[in-house]
Amino acid sequence: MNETSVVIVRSIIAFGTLLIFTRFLGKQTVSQITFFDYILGISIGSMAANLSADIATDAWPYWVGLFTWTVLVLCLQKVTMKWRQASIYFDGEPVIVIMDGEIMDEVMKKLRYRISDLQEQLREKGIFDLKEVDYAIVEKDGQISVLKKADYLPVTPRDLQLKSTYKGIGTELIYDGVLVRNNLHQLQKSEEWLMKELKNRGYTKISDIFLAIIDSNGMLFIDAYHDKMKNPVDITDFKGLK
Amino acid sequence: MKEFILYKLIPFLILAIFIFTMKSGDFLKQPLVDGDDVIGMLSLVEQSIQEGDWKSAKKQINQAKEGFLTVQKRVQFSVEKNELNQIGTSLNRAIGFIDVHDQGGAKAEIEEIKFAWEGLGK
Repeated sequence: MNETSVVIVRSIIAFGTLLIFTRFLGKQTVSQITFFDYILGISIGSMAANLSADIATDAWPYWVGLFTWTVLVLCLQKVTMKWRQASIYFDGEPVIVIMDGEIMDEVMKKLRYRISDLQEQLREKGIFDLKEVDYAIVEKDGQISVLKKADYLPVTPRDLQLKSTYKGIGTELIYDGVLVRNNLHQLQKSEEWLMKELKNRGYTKISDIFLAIIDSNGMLFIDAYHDKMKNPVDITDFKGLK
Repeated sequence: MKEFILYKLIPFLILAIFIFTMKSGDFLKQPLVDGDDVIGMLSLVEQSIQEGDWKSAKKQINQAKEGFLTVQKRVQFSVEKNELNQIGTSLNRAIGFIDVHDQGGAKAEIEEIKFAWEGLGK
């Protein structure tokens, strides 16, 4: 038995299976997952790891385990998508821990959520004074959402009755030295126009550009491969191994 | 159509190949080329032992071992390493018993190989 080739083949199976199964499971991002989802992910990953390298055991049981867990997660996703009550039952729901500036201590006890946890999460949000908080909600994934009191909210152009210009999102015209023709055509711009813009800024070739983005006002942001900075700031204090 | 091929057909085909690779042990252990009929050769070894023809038994058990090494290459991706090790160990033991003309020991080992072979890839 050639252990190396067996592990390689089994790893390809585990990798491919995991890739396909996770595509079936959809686009729920890591930031949205609950504690249970996290454990599900670990269990599925652990089965894939065993499928890959545990050659003392047949690959098939691990694959069936992987398949079964994926189907169960898929079923749970479908059920919680369809029925809100099921979603609340399985995933829980957001809980208000500060209401009208007052800490809901009974609710926090139920959640086994300490005041130090609350303070820590508020600090992560840039809030160091509890007085500033009007509402704080612990979301399903354990993250906290905060609504500050009106006095502490930042001033917006609307508050000052200022006119603001629409920004929209930028569109990539050159990505990693390659022209994105599709985007150029969608914006009804020509390659000649782009070359002219590049020349105005001292660039001669598209392949010299790392990234070029055009915003909704037609302003170009260009970053070339060769940085012109003579003395870049080095923020590390690690000078390498001597 | 393109979407169907990319997102349905190709993933299912890949999964089907994976399943075949993992479940092919039972099929691939069957004799497919010359000299890989392990169970057939073991029957001949048993017969030779019964007749006391130790010279033929030795030759046949070595052929069975050669056959096993061929089959092992085919089934290694779909069976347990321990199952293959067990069959390999029993084959070597059987060779030892045949060398010392121990009929009981040789027959016991052959029976063990047959039993392990039966479960291989299942």
